[in-house]
Amino acid sequence: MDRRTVLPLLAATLTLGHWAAPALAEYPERPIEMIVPWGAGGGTDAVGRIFGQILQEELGKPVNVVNRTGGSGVVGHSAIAKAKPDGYTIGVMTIEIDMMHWQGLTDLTYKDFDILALVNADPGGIMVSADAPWKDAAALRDTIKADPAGTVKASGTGQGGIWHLNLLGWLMSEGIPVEAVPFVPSQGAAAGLTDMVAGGVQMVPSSLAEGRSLIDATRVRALASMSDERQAMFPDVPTLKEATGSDWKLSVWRAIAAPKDMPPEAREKLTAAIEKAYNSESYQNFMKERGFGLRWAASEEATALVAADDASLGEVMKKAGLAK
Amino acid sequence: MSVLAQSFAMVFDPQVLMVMVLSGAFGLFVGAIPGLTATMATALLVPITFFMEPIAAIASIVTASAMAIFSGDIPGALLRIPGTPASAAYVDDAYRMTRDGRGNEALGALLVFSVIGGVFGTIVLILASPILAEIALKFSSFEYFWLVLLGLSAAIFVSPGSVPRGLVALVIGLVAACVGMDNPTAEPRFTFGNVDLLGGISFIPAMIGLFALAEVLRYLVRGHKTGAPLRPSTKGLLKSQLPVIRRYPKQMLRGNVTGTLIGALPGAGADIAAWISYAMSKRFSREPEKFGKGHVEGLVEAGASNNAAVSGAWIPALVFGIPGDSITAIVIGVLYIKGMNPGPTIFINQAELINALFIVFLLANLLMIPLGWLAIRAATTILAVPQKILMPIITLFCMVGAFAITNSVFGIILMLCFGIIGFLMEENDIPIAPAILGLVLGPLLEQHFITSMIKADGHLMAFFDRPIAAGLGIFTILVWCAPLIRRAILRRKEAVT
Amino acid sequence: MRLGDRALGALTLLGAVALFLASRQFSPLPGQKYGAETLPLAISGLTAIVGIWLILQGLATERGAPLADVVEWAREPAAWGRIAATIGLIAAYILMSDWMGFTLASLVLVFALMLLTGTKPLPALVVSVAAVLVVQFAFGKLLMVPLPRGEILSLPW
Repeated sequence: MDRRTVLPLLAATLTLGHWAAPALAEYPERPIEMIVPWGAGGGTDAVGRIFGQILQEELGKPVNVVNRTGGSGVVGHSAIAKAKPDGYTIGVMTIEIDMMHWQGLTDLTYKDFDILALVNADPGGIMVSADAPWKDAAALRDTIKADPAGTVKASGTGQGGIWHLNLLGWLMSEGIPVEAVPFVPSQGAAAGLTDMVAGGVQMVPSSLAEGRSLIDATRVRALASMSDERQAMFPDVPTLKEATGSDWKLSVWRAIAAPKDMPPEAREKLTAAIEKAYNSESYQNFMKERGFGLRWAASEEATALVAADDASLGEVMKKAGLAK
Repeated sequence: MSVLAQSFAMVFDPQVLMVMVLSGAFGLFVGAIPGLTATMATALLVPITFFMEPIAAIASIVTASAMAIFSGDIPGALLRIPGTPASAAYVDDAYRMTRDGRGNEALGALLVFSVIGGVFGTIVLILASPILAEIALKFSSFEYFWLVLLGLSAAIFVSPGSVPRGLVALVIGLVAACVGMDNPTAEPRFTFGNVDLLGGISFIPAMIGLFALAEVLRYLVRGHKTGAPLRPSTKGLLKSQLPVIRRYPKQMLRGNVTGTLIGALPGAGADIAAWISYAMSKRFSREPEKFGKGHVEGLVEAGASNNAAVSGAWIPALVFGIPGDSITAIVIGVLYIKGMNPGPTIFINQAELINALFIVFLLANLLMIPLGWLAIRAATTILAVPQKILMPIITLFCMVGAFAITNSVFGIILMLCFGIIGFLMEENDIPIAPAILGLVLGPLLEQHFITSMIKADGHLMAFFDRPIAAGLGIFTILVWCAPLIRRAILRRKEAVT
Repeated sequence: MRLGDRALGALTLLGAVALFLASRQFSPLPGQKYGAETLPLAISGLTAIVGIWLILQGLATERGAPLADVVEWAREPAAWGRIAATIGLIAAYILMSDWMGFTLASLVLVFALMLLTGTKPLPALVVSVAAVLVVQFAFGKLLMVPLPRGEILSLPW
């Protein structure tokens, strides 16, 4: 190749760039990036990817899922909050945003985001191994109360992770000292459940959806659901209120969030598309098949829910000495 | 029989076959690019599978992931950029063979033994899933602790040359593994207030730096004098493996079995399997001195083990819905969406679907032979490019690959730092491979130690309380003491005579 | 530069001490004997053993030899220059890519590296442009890696 071919090629490369930045065209004029603060293969990734896929059809531009993992979600949430608020970067926010600032890992709170909508919520639960002696949550509670501390151990997430807090919140609500049930950190609910079936721990306070296959295989028994009503997928599992009378409730949720102060036209278009995507048949079916809880809250309500969790989790973490 | 016929009809549908070929090519492409992993290939396929029939959806994922795992070995053999921590175990042997003009033999061995391992793992998956899954369920943190320690001990056996220098490499990897807050206590360590470091040191950018960038730096200081590796011919690529199979049947079988068993454990996987197999191969070899210097024996055993483990990971995934690795984690989600709920009953209630799945597995592994051969042919052309042009392009690939893992420049920063470390290590005859092992297994060791100690209220003897744990523990200690015992016996013999 | 066993051993031992001191800021889990300090402390122990091993081995085998050998390339200033330039180029890419965009930043990087390895400017430019466009298409478009778009030049992918 000689100069005569090289120069036009280079010139072409350079001019291509100028096309890409015309004056204000209608949003969206290029692909949108959707940051997922958790790794490929996890539940949040699955929700992010299916949501991105449907959103893409609504908006007519690709929605690319970008995993930004690590630091219990701090890395990804920071990336969402610090992105340019031009409507081309959105992300999936998870309940960890209400925990990380209490732990002193970051100054970031839900107030640094524009929460567009909440699109899923899974209530916490109580699960024990199928060969465990406890047939209901009240019996488990009585054992924890009566027997020496450490008789029952729990697992299902990292130290200070959401299911750890679920356990602590439940114990506090029953008036049991938190030292009674030592928590064994694990890499996620699946690892905790496997360990429980292997006899390593006695209970896993994660969402029932995460134990679905083992519950179906009758290896794991679900004792309670930390929700207002029984879950459609597990109609035989009582709510915690029914089972022990405790008022403790906790659901992990996933919300679509964006950096603050994005242009109003973009925001309007995006929120409308998100609502349409949520109501689409594909999303509803996907969530049902995967066993994920469907829950919709538009921006204002979602922000209020996130704020309420922030307060209640903060209280639990302070009491348990996990807050800095 | 009609069930089986039905299953065959499901798979040998033109659409399914086409999906398999296309996703196979996609998997080969993604896997062959340094920094892009089989997990990434699988994750990219998920939104597409959403619109496919169940069998086509599963077939595309099975084919793409199997191909990606194999093709991760190609840049390892040609450019010394291992695609996965598992292939890092034998990358030095493969690359040395390429430099010596035996790239054809190395790539052929990697392809053929990948296929053999994959097929073996699948046969075990078909015949013994329920039983193996039951055993796998008995593994808790105590058992995994010993298994990880056994994997780490492999560092001593795999490092060529000086043992303490190999241990220096291991220590470098272990220290890097401490960084971040993704440890069982969730306490940030060595992060210096940096948000990105909270997430710890991601091993793929580190691996790309240690191997590939270090190689580029070495070329820049002394490259003109070492000469370029010869471009391997693909003639007789497959036929040349027949004598290898005849020569190392025991190694092949051992790799298959070890890989499948370790792969079936949800907490272990292809990484530990490949390293243990490589160490075992060297330990029992009649020519251990050749390992790491371009010897095919380790490729046979560890290459087979690697792919057998990938098939083995499906055992707990299908029987109990427990993911054995990040690929099966994605697959379980897809299975649910397609109405194939994993569980012991899947084998009875959905027999035709599960049989079809097995056929897909076998077919995907067989498809690897022609597609893999084409991929090798295409890939080896890059060695025809002069080194002075190739090295800058490799650098670009390293950077984009590292970027693709973290989706930020942080990956490139890691790669650069580890590139410099890797260069300094090799200048000082410190092997690279044990550092990767430390980086990958360090976090697992800590996780299983801390959680075991919480469960046992701090009693160390708990590591010997459970039968499988005790067995593994005694075995590990024996492995450590073996050199000492042998020396003692030798000395006694000398004293007698 | 290749360090002998004695020098490398001393360096390793120094590392062990530093790691030991740094690990003491971490604390065990509440109510447990072990915690964040366990692994770093164990590694510092192992490091110390390795360091002592190297020193002893060095004392036994390297009597009279220098602490470190200077290898041949290390005497050539040009070799050091090439390494420094490569590291500098990658560091510049890290700092500038968000602003320059992937296309331009990587084009500069690959072109400069090619000159460094002794490729003639014209072929170097042609190959760099081709390589960057291929990578941009394969990673950015096909594999949806979010390559930085940049403020001054961006391709509409």
